[in-house]
Amino acid sequence: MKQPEYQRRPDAEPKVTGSLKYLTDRFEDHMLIGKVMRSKHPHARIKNIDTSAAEAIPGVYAVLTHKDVPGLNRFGIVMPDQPVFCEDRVRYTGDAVAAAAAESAEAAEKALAAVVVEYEPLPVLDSVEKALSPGAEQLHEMGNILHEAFYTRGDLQQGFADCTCIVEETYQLPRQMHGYMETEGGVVVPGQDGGISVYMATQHGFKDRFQLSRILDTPEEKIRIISSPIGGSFGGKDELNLQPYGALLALKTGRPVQVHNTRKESVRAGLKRHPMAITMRTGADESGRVLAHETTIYADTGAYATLGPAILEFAVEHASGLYPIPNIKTTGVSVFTNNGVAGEFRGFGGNQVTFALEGQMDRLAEKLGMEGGQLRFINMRKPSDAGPLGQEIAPTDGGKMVLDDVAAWQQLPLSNTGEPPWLKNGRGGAVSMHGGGLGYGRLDPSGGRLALTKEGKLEAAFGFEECGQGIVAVIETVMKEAFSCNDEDIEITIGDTSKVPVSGSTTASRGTGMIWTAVENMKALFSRQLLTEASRVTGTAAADLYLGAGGIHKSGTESSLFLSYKALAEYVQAGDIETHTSFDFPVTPDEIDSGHYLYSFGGVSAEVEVNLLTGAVRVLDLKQSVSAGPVVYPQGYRGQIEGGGIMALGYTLMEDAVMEEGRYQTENFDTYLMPGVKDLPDNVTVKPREEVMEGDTYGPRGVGEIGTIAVAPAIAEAIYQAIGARPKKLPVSREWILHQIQQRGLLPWNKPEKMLGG
Amino acid sequence: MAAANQSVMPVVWMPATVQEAFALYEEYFPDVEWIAGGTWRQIEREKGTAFAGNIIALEQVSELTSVHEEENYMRIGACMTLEELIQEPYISREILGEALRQIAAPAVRTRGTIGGNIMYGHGDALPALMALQAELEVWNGRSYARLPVEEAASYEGTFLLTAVLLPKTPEASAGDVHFFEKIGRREAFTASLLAVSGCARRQAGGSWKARLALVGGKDAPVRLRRAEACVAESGWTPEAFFKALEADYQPGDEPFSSGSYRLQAAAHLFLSRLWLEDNAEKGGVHNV
Repeated sequence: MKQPEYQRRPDAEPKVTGSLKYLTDRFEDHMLIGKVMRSKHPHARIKNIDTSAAEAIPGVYAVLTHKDVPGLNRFGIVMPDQPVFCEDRVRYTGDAVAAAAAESAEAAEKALAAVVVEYEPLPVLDSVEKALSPGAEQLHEMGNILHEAFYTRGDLQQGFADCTCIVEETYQLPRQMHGYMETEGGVVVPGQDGGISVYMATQHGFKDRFQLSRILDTPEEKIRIISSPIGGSFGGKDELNLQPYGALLALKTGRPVQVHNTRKESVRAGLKRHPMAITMRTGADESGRVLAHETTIYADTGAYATLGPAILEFAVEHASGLYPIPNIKTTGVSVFTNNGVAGEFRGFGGNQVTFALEGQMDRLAEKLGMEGGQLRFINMRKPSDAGPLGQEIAPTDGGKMVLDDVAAWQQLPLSNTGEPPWLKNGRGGAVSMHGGGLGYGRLDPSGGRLALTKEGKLEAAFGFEECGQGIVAVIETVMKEAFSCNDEDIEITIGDTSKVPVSGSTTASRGTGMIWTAVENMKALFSRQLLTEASRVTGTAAADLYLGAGGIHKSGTESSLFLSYKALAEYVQAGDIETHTSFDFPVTPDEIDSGHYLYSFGGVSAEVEVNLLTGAVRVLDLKQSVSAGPVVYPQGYRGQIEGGGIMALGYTLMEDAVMEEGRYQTENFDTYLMPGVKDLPDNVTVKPREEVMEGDTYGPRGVGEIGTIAVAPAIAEAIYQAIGARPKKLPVSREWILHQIQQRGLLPWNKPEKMLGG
Repeated sequence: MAAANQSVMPVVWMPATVQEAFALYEEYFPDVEWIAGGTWRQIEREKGTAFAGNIIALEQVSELTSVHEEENYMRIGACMTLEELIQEPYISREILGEALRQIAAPAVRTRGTIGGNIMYGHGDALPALMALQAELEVWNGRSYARLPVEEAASYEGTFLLTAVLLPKTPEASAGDVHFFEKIGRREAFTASLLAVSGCARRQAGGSWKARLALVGGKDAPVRLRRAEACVAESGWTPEAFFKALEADYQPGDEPFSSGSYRLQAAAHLFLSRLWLEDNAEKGGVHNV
């Protein structure tokens, strides 16, 4: 790492002291409070909506329904299929039916309580099985299948025929919640010209602007999106959430309107990670070469699409991961149900399919009588191998590098001493491969702008969002390295569509790489512009000048400031010193839809302690090796991998947004549990493997997701090593563990025949 | 919607004496409830259980907010916060302290009270209090009465819990085993699926003179009389203990734990304390 290990991030102090104002903290004069009424039923026809009583309530300024949407009454990034307000049918309990703006939250809630909706309940399709059963009610015109995705190569049948060892398993993955601290919301301020300013978090301001323009039937230029800072997103705020309601209410009332989900509302309406059932059949010959791999994925996408199709395609792509298996058949089906909408979430389908894939590798290794690491080495991709869809990718040996680390870590002794005797430890390892960017065939532009401001700051402007991941620290670090400047020389502009260039979405682990690339593209020209102007102003040859802390320095003299940026700014007109760049995220040259080009790799080693008395699992040690190109901002890198690891620990051991009959049973953080500080491993290691192949010019890859992928299979294998039972369903419950302990008679009194209470 | 359930803002009363608190309760009954900390009640409200029209907050009743040492017991005011009690050395070193330290998180322990933990019906302090043979002091409108912890739920008529009377037992000596164990869905800041506790004195022949208790999920706390009788026999076996425990405790299934799990885990926790260490030679824990 080039940078020192410790470097204060620019947003650290205001966040730590609490002085930072988030968009949901925003207050405007004459501001009204908006509330959204969600469906009472997971599935029903709407016979009638009567808002007259609601409108008569004192202090209520507007009550809106589908009749009040001037443009398209739909939203959705891939395909607009989710009603802003439902007209005649509701498909999940997060569906919006009406919204109200009033002088207080109480009055707005009172108004919504007075809206009379006549429902005719319909059968609730609360599982993939029900939604796909013959005669099931069709949730959308296109039916109950949102999307199917396939990949095949080789001859699967022949492949399996050549195998001496085959394992098959079905893996069940839960509905994880993003659990950001700041729930969705913000303020919408109407302008004089019929336009609006939307102060609400998103991961892609320009996309929100586009979608709102369609809903409001208003030109995009009249919509300004201010979207940072964000109190956490993890994919969950990528899609529109409350923006349409805030906007419609503000335009209707002509007053600023604040909308802000309570936690319960956020759980009910918000996105979750796709629950999936993944069946894999994997075979190898006796030397351990995996010859055939068949995967079937069923994803419960809930009531509407959002990015469901892309997530499914990502899972299909990554079904064979780092192993160039000759014969593959992968089938993915994303199914509409009356459950909560599943969508964008850190890892994007990779978490689910990697749990299954790595689970297969461990099962196969055991059956072959070899170590899991050995089987993985035998099948590991070579640097020049094609990507998982057979597409050309940037050559990389990342998989081998992280596996080397995991294999070494697997040899470490367990930390328990055998006391007390009911604690059993085990260690497991797993590896993963994760594509960055949106993939082939999808618009994936990026870019940035550098300028000298009239205040004498080097402005770095990007259309990215700061959602806690530390992108402002990345920008600052890249700028300092490019221009040898100080923190205070830099002005960062992000999160405002009226000020920033198009950079694409802040998703898909793309931000860091795109910022680095943009500055690489611009730095020569921008430096030249600064030096040329400085030369003109001072009459000194540009060749004798160079950029340094605070401004322009002169060669040959003691290193000291020759012309400050502030002084230079006084001699130039706005826009004189300004550089732009725009480019696309690197994609594979092969015409393979959704195929990625740049991949990162993660290797995980986990040690667990299983309590045989209670089935409780503690992760004692979590080590991650990451190959994602050079590290830009070490603390941010470490934070992403550690944080991602903890998020994945929760996914593995406790997190599940349980739904029954289409209703959340975990409505708040008292029942939806995420890891607390006491659940964290005692030891956490992050090992960056920065080496890239010779001639690799792509720079840093971004590590927003890779730290979440291989954790679950590593913990699952560690549990197996401790108790001899292989988890196939997440989260791994204490109850399941205890049952396995009983079945195996691991405690002296619980021989199988002496099981108590069933 | 949560707010729709709250028809009116409740009136909050802050009496200074037990008698005043009781009189207020009788005056506004049934549209009234006592609050002793309110940490659990706040979650219930969030889930849609509206407050009664009158709330009697007990935190200013001085009789409820102190600890006194009496001849044979400590009198712990019912509105002592969990954190205040954790700071009391006498409590802190005992299993009651262990139980209190495992309740929720610091912010909750600073606000929540021992009385609230007892009266909401399945607090983690209950099994530890039962194992320690604590008694409850209550005001029933006419007089103070004392009753065993496990009888609070079935006590006839209205009463206000005023204090916990914790016997001054000598500290656990050699041959004594005092324990408290809690299982939640994560390591901390979680409602317990199960909390077990016991005070046991080793007797001849591997038998124990024991007080054992548990509280599981939403169940009422249970004093495990049959299990106690079982371990009092010399030569008792885990099999016999399972049967006795099953007779004492028949938990139902709940959203986040089955009854079978709670029963099994409880048996394991008790046996780990009362049988496993003495019987390692009989097999100990099996290796995978």
